[in-house]
Amino acid sequence: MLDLLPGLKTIIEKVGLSDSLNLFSNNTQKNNILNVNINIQPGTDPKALAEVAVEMKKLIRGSEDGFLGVTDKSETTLELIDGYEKSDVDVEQRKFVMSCIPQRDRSLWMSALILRRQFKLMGNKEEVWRIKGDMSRSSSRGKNIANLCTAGYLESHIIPLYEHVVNEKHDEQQFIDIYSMIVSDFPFAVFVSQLRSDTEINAEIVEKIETVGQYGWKMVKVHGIGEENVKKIQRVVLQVQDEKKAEIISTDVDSHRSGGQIIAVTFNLK
Amino acid sequence: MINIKFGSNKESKSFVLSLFDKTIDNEGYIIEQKSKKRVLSADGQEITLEEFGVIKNGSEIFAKDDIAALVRFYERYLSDAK
Repeated sequence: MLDLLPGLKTIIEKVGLSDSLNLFSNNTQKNNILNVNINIQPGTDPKALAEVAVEMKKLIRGSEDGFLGVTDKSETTLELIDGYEKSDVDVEQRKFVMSCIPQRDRSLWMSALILRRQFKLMGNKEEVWRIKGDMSRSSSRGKNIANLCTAGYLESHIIPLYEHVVNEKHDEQQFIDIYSMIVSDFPFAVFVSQLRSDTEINAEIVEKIETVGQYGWKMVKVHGIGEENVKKIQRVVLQVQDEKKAEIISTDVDSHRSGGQIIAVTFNLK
Repeated sequence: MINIKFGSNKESKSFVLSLFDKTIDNEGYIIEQKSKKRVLSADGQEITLEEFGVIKNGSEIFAKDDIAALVRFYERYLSDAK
């Protein structure tokens, strides 16, 4: 493979693509590694590119150890995945995800764990938004899993559910049914926005209290950001309490620096 | 082993695809130059130039530039190698 390299470098120089294509070998006793950086700008002469492509194809075909081509964006994401997978962070959670979560959602949960880790590290914000964007864009399922994971529901609800239903009752199908409901309906949380009326929010809180109550859980969290929404939450939670649709045992307020507030409503079903 | 790192712009992606005799159809999907058949990602999905993030040897394995797709790609092909 490497005997083709000098010829290729000469052609790259000759056709004036030295700024767009860099090749450098990194050889060890064990491996011959050739690194190729490609950054073609609009307006680059197609004939020059075709000439270089002919020689590069020979190089790629002659590589006995294969090749891996990644975009700069994918490389950043793969490095993030690699760093996370090799770390000692969330070891139990990762083990659980890869062995107990239904196959179709495993990569979404792994992505969500990586996202949560990046949030905690306050790492590269751009990367955090990109991961979140990827997860939300792919499906509402991805968005829900990202939200569930960030809010800690894997540890607080899903793992204990598995331990109870599968390890103790040996009913895997029941776990899958309840798990699917959690991921698609997000039953523990109500999100308040300015566009939603008090009546709508009240109905959703009561509906979710009834849903999670069926599974033995006694808490629904109402999330909101901004003064107006926080006031709305407080008003509606009082309404729910007054209407005695459920016996509210406690309401714990957890405020965040971002101006967000979560009111955890603990209840008994009537 | 050849490690190719390329820009996420369409010119760089198109050039890399040309190295593997691939091009783009009029809907933006990656196709074989000769047969005009759309290529599939490691997850069995058709893949557009915009989504294209990774190509690896072994019957030319493609992956989308998307966190969940890259997690699957990593688990399947890179977790032992990296």
